[in-house]
Amino acid sequence: MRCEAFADVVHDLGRFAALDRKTREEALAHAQSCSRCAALKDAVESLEASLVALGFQDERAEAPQRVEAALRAAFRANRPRMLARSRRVVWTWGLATAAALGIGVLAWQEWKPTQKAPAGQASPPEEAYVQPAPVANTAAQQPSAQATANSASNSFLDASGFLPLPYETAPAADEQADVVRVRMARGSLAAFGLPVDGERADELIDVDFLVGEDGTPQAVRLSD
Amino acid sequence: MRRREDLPEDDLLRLAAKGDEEAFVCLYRRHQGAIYRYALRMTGSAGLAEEITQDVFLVLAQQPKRYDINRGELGAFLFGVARNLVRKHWDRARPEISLDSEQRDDPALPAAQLLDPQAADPGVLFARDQAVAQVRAAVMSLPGDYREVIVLCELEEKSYEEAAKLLDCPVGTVRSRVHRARALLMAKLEVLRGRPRRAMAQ
Repeated sequence: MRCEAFADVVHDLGRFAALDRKTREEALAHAQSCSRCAALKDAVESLEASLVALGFQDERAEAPQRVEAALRAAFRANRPRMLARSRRVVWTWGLATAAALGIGVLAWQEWKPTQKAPAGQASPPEEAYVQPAPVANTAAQQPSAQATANSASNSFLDASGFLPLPYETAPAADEQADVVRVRMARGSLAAFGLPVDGERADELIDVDFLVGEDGTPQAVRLSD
Repeated sequence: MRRREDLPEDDLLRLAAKGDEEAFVCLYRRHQGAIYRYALRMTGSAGLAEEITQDVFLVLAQQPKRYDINRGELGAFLFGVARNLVRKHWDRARPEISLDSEQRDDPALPAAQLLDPQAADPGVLFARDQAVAQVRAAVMSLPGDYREVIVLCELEEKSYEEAAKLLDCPVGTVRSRVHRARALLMAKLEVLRGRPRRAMAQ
């Protein structure tokens, strides 16, 4: 090894991972035969020892406790914003899901053969009210008008003028259901997938909901 | 249920992002030492190091989304933030350390004495402290890029590869900077000790 090559590797002699064994041995052999390079090697080793000593001095240096206290305070102060942010995320996803559902319902309504709703409006009550009317929801009691209906439940719904809500499953045959009458704006029917005449959207109408045992509306019809 | 201290970093980050203070503190305790030491060694000021450490973790507390788990380890991200803050500090005020103002007595000690923590002789201890102070002054007087590799590769004992990852540069660049920085340090220490020796600074 020549002096130039030695000078190039002398700083890596103390780093075992940085130099291969053969080069290291050649460098050490050169330092034994060249006094100038031996002096350079000694100087480098002295510097390394100084740096290690410096490293020792700061080895356990850590930020004072007050930094942690200040960060805890800052974290607490920021927490309401973080929670609000995560709530915003939940709301955003919720609204997006609702919008997607609404679009799906409308698309389904477009595709599905529409069923005429009764047009009459017989002296509706002033306020929304509830008429619990337990309905024995069995196919035997309410034979279906549509022979092609898939299930007894659906047959019942069709025969009684109820239109199943598209995103709800039809009540089971032996499930009890209540009819709940509600006065609402005609435009609100769109939320249930029913077609709405835009010009009459503000008109108040009575609507019957078939509410399942779990309180979920399962079908809807316009009240006569 | 696992204690916070035992949780992996990903879980702690998720919890901290949801407002879990103890998870955040766990992350802080895991990384604060390295960040503080880096800042201390780069700025030479305990006060500044404290300020930088606090600012680094404030980023994590207030803008956790800035750290993208897919782009590397949290330690590397925090180091990057600390590095930017150190550089901002340099831009504001470049501390100049005059080598002339340092003590010129020659306390150069044999390497064995520099490293012997058991050395009880007050004279040796004093000389050792003086020698370390000179090395510190010499390190602080290095240009930023060279100081950085000395801090990482010598004082933090990172490999060239680890330093290259942190500095986002090739391993060869780190290696050549370390060599150049060491040569500069040797020259500076010779000046400090009043024994200029040209061969050392090549």
